[in-house]
Amino acid sequence: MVTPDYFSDLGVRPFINAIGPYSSLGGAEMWPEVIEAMDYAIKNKARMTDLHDAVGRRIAELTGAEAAMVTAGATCAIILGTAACITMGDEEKMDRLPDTSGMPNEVIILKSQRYLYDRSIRAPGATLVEAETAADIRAAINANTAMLFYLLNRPDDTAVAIPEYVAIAKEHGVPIMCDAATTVPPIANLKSTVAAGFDLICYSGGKGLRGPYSAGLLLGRPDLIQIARRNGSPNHRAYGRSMKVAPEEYLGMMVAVEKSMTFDEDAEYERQLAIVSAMGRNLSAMQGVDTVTRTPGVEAREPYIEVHWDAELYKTTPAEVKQALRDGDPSIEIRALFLSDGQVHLTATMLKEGEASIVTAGLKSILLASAYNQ
Amino acid sequence: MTYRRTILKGLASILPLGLLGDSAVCAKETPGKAPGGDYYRELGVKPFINAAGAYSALGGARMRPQVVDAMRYAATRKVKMRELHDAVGKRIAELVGSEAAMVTSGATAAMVLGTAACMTLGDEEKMRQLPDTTGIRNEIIIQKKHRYTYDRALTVAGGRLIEVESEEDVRSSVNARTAMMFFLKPTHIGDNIPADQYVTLARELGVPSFCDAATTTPPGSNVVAGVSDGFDLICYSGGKGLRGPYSAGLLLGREHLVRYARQNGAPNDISIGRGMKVSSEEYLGMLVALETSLSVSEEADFAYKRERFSHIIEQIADLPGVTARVFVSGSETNELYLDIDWDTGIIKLDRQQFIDALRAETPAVEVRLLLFSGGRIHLSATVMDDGQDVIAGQVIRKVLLEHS
Repeated sequence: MVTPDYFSDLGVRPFINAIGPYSSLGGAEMWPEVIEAMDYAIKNKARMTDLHDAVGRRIAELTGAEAAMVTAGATCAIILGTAACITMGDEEKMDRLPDTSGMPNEVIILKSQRYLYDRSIRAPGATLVEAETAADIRAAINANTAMLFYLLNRPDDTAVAIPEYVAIAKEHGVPIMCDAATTVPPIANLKSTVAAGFDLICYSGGKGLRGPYSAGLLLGRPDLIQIARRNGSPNHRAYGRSMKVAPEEYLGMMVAVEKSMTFDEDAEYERQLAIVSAMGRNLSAMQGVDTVTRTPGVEAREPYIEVHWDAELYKTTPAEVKQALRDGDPSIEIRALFLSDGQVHLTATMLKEGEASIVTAGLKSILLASAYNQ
Repeated sequence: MTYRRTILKGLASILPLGLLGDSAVCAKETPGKAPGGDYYRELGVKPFINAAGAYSALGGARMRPQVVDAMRYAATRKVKMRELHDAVGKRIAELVGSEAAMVTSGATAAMVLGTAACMTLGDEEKMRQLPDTTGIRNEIIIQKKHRYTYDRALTVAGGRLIEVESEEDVRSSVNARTAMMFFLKPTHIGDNIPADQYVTLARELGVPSFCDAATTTPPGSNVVAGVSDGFDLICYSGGKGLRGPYSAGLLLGREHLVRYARQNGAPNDISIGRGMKVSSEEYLGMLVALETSLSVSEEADFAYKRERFSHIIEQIADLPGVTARVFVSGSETNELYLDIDWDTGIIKLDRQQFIDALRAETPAVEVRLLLFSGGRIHLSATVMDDGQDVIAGQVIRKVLLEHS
């Protein structure tokens, strides 16, 4: 079989990714081992329950979690975990979601950690209750509290440190969930987060772990994982039946975790750092342009450069530059919006050989054009 | 994989691809060991032969080789998800004759997103607010004879089911809170109101109509026929009769409603359906599955299945008291089945014991005994690889002999 060039036939343009493995851009490159494992699972059928049991056990062993399941992504993990905490396995309640009348449905979230994806906590019928301090959290817990929530990539120690937050949860017998979706690599973060004592932890599969695009992980307490599974596919009448996970995604996710555990992250970090630093030197050579190399603290360990320019010299904004690069040929995606506080960021995670110089050349020509157009 | 590709390349140079037929392709689809190792053995996952059919719990259908190939293509080439979905949707719509099309994470997701679309009609505030339906139309009209397991999906986004039994019921039930009129096909007990009458009524009342036709393939041409029924939205499972990706499905219909459904799904961050992720390989795989299903002849498909069944029958034909018969299902879905029965005076085994005994073997053999098969033992060759037929026949023979 000669594989047609589908994307070209469909008129879908390739692009250069200097922003990172975002979902809207197709996520990360899967490990070759993940693709092989997915091929295997496509050819060899297994009962979904048997396969999920086995894969879950293996992922739990690898990560040190008590139990694990594969979900249709980090958002799905948040939804199924929340559904588990609201229903605690009661059949009648599970069948009624998102109608949560007569069920504990309040989820406590730090005000400073309200974010785009807390929308998904509400999907199975939860209500968000904001807290600003440890005292607030304690006061907010009542018979209607289903879950406490923590967003790992936006820590707020002045509100409550993780050990204290976890201790409050245990003290009141309320499960605590941690969204750790974008906090790997380094993989050490995963083990330390598991060790922190959260009852449930959510990870994205198709980003830092380089697993299947529409897969994620939910790790944690065996009873809650079991209930989360009952609320999901392939159970016919489950609230989450629509969030289907394929057998190849189960196996691919397991292999992605295995591979991430043994991979030389430092070498990969150095590789990316060398690329972004070279881009930085290249751009800084331009008059009125300045770059800073940065390493994020709590987000995935991905080096990037921040690009600044003299606004007197170059009459353009980061948002305009982003749009111009996107509209160019080849189309280039960079980070330059709310995610980066309006600054232009360039990353190397997804860049292929030879693409870095195309990105810098594109950026330079847009800046130059803005100078001439005055 | 390499072996199969080589063979096909050789054949393709002699014959136009369409003439290759499905069985020629499938015959080379044998289970294989990936370079990464024999994962299932290492994990202790019991192998089994699926002689029951393309059920989700059993891993769905056997994807067509063209689909696997397309998915592999997409897995190693990144494009923007929205752009790809636009292009794939446009092409699917052309193929089936609908105004618009989208790929979902399965038929259930298509129901959830279609319902959310009809409830919110593109209003971003309302989309954010779901499943809280305060101030949002959320009543879904459903015929009493269409109540079924999966109507659960209609309530996931916050919908409320209103049962009707007649046209008068519909007229008196439709009000300012009505979001959608739902239809299921096919059912075993028929409809309270037939499809054409229901579609006309929905149009007259100005209510979007939705049809769940998830299980009405093969043949693939049923998708084109389904679209022409005139429902505003219609959904199909991708990983069953169409032999596409396991966690994929199709939502087809009116341009504005499909657009709203997409807004309510992944990768849109504010959506109720953000958890129902679809990968780029699933977008492309679904398109190729549909294309192939529409071009492959049903005869080739049937010939492949008949051959599998004949290999099973060979194993058990000489057993006293055992009868085996191949037949075509009478329903809308054109499927071939093997009915196996035995004289319980000679073989001391009831049907459930037979199923349990087959499950206990290694490899296990899964057959179906369901409502659909009227309480009889039915085998399907839909998900059976070449070679698995003989093994399945041997296991069945062993179980029957042990109780003779």
